[in-house]
Amino acid sequence: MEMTDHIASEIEQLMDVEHIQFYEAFKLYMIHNKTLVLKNNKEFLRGTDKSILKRLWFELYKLPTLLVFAVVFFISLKWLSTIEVEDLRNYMALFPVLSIVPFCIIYFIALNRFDLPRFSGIERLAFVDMICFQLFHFISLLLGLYVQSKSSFYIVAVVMSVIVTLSLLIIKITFKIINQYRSDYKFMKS
Amino acid sequence: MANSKLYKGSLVTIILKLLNESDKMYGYEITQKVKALTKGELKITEGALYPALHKLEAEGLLEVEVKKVDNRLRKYYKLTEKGNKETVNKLQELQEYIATMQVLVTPKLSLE
Repeated sequence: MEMTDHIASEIEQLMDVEHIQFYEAFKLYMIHNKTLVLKNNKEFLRGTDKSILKRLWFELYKLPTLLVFAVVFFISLKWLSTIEVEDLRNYMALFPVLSIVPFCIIYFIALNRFDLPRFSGIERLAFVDMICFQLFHFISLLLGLYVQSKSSFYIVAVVMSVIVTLSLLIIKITFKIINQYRSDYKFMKS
Repeated sequence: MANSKLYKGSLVTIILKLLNESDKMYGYEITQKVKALTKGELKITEGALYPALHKLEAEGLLEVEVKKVDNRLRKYYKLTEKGNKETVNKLQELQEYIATMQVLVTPKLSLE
């Protein structure tokens, strides 16, 4: 609403000062401001990505993160001891899904909860999540070729633990971003 | 145009000061007033102004009134009681900052 009024006021002023019609004024405004908007947008994206990676980096070294990793590792090992090598390949295809599905669920719940068409802060986090998703997909493919016996299951357990821990971290950071936005923009409907 | 990074920390003070001098203002009016007072030296972008206004509103320093003007909705901002008090604090802070900077950057002339 505010941006509509702002742009309309700017165009009205351009029409008064330059004595031109709406279309010319609108074109002039868009030519000048589109560059500024694109530049601001680039800076916003760069800043947001930096902030997200910084948060992720600091969270990685915290005790709860290391505990989660250890717990998931032992649970994975326990589970892997119950399955055969031939069946592992079928399960490995699901490994990357462990990272993307919970994140998508949280994102759509957040959109519904706050009645928003999009949530830009979380979408930038999705970019990090997608990189991890592709990386794990690649690692899972390689593991499928490499793992020939149960003795290599330790590696599989490590990969699973990394996927689950990173996924949980990304979900934790998502909640932190949501709370931060709610605190900064209290006037938004909730 | 002046280096905008030097003005970055003063945006809130500028907004509070302008609203203190007027009954109420809307976003575009604030940008135009700043541009006019500084003779084009300082231009506040929408990307900087509106998040600052929203934050001040969330902190209870500003209140909002929405009016229909020329078939569109316009949001006017005015200072609350808390905003009036904060304006005094912010102006005081800024004056102290200017005095400190002046001491640091003014060359000391010596007769030796």
